[in-house]
Amino acid sequence: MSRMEPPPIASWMLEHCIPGRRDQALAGDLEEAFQTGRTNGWYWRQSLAAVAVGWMKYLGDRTALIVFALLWSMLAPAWTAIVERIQNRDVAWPASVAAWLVLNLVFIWTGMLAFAGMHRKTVFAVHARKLKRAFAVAAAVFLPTYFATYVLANLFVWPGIGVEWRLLQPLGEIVDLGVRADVLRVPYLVTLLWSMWRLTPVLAVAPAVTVEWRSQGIDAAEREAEGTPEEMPLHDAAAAHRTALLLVTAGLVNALIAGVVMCQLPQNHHPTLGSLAMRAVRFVVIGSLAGWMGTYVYWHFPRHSIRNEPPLPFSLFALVCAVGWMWVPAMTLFFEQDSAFGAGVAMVAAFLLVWELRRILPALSPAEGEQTAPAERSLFAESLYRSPAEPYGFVIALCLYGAGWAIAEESNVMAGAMLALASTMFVVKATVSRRGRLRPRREFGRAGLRVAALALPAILVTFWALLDGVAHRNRLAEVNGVGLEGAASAGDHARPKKDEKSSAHSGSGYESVVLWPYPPKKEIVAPVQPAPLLAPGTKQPVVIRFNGEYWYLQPPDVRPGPLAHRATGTPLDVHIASANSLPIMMQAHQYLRSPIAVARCREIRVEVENRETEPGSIVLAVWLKKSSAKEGAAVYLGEQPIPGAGAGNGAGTLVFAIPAATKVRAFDEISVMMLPDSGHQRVGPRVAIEQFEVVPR
Amino acid sequence: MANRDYLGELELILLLAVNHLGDEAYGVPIARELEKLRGREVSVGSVYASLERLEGKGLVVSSLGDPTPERGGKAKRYFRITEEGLHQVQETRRVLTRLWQTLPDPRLERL
Repeated sequence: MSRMEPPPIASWMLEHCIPGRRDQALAGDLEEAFQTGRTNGWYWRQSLAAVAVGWMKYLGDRTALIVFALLWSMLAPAWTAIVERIQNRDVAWPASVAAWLVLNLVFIWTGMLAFAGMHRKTVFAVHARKLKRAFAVAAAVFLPTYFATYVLANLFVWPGIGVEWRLLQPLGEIVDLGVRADVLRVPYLVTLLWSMWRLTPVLAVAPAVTVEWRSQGIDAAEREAEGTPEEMPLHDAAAAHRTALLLVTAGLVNALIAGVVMCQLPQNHHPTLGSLAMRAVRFVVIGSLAGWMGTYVYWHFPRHSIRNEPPLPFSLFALVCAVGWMWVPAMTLFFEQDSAFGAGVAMVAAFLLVWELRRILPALSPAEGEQTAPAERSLFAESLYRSPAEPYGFVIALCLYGAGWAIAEESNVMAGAMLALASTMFVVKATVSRRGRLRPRREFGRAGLRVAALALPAILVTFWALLDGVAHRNRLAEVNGVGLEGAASAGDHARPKKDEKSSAHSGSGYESVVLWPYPPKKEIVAPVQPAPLLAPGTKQPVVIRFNGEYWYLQPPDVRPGPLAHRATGTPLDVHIASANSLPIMMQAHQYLRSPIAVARCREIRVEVENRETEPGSIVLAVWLKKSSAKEGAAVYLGEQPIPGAGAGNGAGTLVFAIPAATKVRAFDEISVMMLPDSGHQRVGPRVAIEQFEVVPR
Repeated sequence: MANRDYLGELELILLLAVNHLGDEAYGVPIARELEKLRGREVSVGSVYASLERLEGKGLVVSSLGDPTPERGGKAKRYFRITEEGLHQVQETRRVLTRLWQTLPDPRLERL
C-alpha cells in the first residue's frame, strides 16, 4: 500500500458505516489531513470515532421514539391478555386472525397517534402524509414480525412458550419482565420503531431555541435604582423541580429498600403487643433514616450545583420529606400481605410528602401567569376568555378508576402507585402553594412539629400492619397444615423444616404446591422379604407396597438431580405444575432392602390408581436397577399406557414381563416414570403407584 | 417558563474558531484550531457532529465548496457564523466576564 493512500478498510467504513445522509466532506477532510503527514493510526482512530459519533447522533436524534416505543411495548402483554379475553374463539380462522390483527394494529396505531400527539407541532403539522404512510407500514410489518418472533422463540425456547392467556391479568402483565412477556413485546417494539423511524428526523431539526442568559427579565438599571445587587440564579423552576424530584425519589427508593429488607414481621408467632409497638417505632425510624440517607447521597453529589449553593438547608429538606418516608415501612408490610391498605397508605404518604414539599419549594407551584383571572380584563372579557385546559383532572380520575380496578384484581402495588400519583397530582395542581420568602428557622420549627404530629399516626398504622401481618401469617400456616404449637413456644427457629424442604423450589421452574394435605400417618410396612423368591419352587408373588418418593423433574434432567422436586405426599391430592415452558416428568422410586435376582422373576405387576380427569393418554415405563451398579445399568421393561387415563376411573394393573437373561443380575430398586402426552406435559399427572407384585419364575 | 439553551464549552470554542478562520473554516482547519486550543487530539467526526448541532440551532450555516484532487475528489464543507451565533458568543462573553469579576484573587487573600 502506498503511503499516499489511507487505509482502505477505514475509508470503506467512513463511506458505508455512518448512518444517515452524509456528504463526503468528512472523508475528504480526513484524507486531506492524511496527505499532510498524519499516520495510519490517526486515520483509523478518526474513522472509528466518526462512525461511533455518527451512530450516537443517529440514535440520539431518535431517543424520544426509542424510549416511547419501549414504554408502549411494555403494555403489549397487557393488551394481548385483554384481546384474548374479548376475542370470540368460535369464529373460524380467517376471520379470527383478521380480528386479532385489527385489534393489535389498533394498539400500535394508538401508540403512534399518542407519540405524534406529543410532538404534534413537528409531526402532524408538517408530515401528516408521512404519518399516514407509517400507519400503512405498521400494518404491513406487524404480522411478519410477529410470525418471525414466534418462530425464533419456538426455536430457542423448546418446546415454545406455552401460556394460559385467559389466566393472565392485564395489570400484572405490564410489570412482568419474564422471558415470555419480553418476547411478546418484541414484535410491537420492532413495528413501532420500523414504521416511525423516518418521522423522527423531523423532530431532530426542530426550531432552534433562543438562548436567554438573563432569566429574571429585570433590567440592570432598575436593579441599580432599587439598590439591590444583580443576581444570577443558578436554578430555574424546571431545574429545581427536577432536582427535588430526584432527591425525593432517591430517598423514597432507599426507604423502600430498607422497608423490604429490614422491616420484617417478628419471628415469634404470638408476639406481645409491647414488642410489636416497639418494633413499629423502630420501623418508622428506619424508614425516615433510610430516606434521609438516600437523599443525602444525591444532595452531596459533586455534579449537582445544589451542592455549592443550596436554596435551603439539607436538614430542613430531609425533615420535610420525613413526613412521607415514615409511612414506607407500613406500606411495605401491607403489600407483603397482599393487603389493599398498602395502597391507601401510599396515597396518604404521597399526599403528605408533596403537601409539605410545596411549602419549601415554590418552584413546584404553577406559574403566576396561569392564574390570571378573566375578571381583570374589563374589555372583551367574555369573548377573550378561554377556559384553561385541565388534563390533570382526567388523569386523576383515570388513576382513581385504575386503582379501583387494580384493587379488584388484587394488584395492590399497582393500585398504590396509581393512588400515589393521583394524590401527588391533586396536591400539585389543585392546591395553592406558599407565597413569600422562605424563612428557614420558622420552617424548621414547623416541619419538626409536623413530623412529631405525624409520627404517632405512622407508628399506629405500622403497628396495625404488624398485627395484621402476624395474623395473616398464622392464618396461612394454619391453612397449610403447619403446626403452630411448637412454633409458638420456641419462636421461628422451631418452624418445621420439613415443610420448607417439601415446598416448591422457587427458582427451579415449579409453582408452589396448593394446600398440601396433612401428611398421612406413616404406615408400618412389613419389610420386604426377598428370600422366598430366591428359594426354588416358590410360586407365590411377593407384594411390595409402594412407600417410596415421587420426583418431578424437567429436561434436560433424566433422573432426579439438584433441581428436581421431591414430593412426600401422594400425587392424587396435590397439584404440581410447571411455572415455565418446559414439560414435567414424574418418577417414582421404590428401594428394596436386599437385592432380588432377576433370573428368579417372571413378571412384575404395577398397580396404579388413576384420578386424572383431563382427557389424554399417560404412559408408564418401568426399570429395574441395582443401586450399587454403575450408572446406566438397568433393565428396561418397556412402557404401557395407563388404563382409563382421562376418565379418572380408579385403579388398574399393568403387567411387565422380566427377561430371564439380562446384564443386570439382581435389582434392589424399581423405578417408574410417567410420560404424559403433549397436552399434559406441564402438569404433574394425578396417578399414584399403589404396589408392585413380583411374580417368581 | 422561557425555553433556554446554553452554549457548551465545545460549542463556544467552535463558534470562536469558525469566526476566527473566516472563509477558510472547514473541517481540517477547525479541527487543527481546536487541537491548538485544547492541547489534545480532536475527533473530526465529533467536530462535524457539534457543527451540525449548531447549524440546527441556527448559529452557523454551511455550504459545499468545489472538490479538489488532494481530497480524493471530495468537496469541502465551509462553515460560517450567523448573526445569531455572533450574538450568542457576545452574550456568553458578557456573562462570563461578569462571573470572572467575582473570582477572588489569591494574592489579595494572602495579604
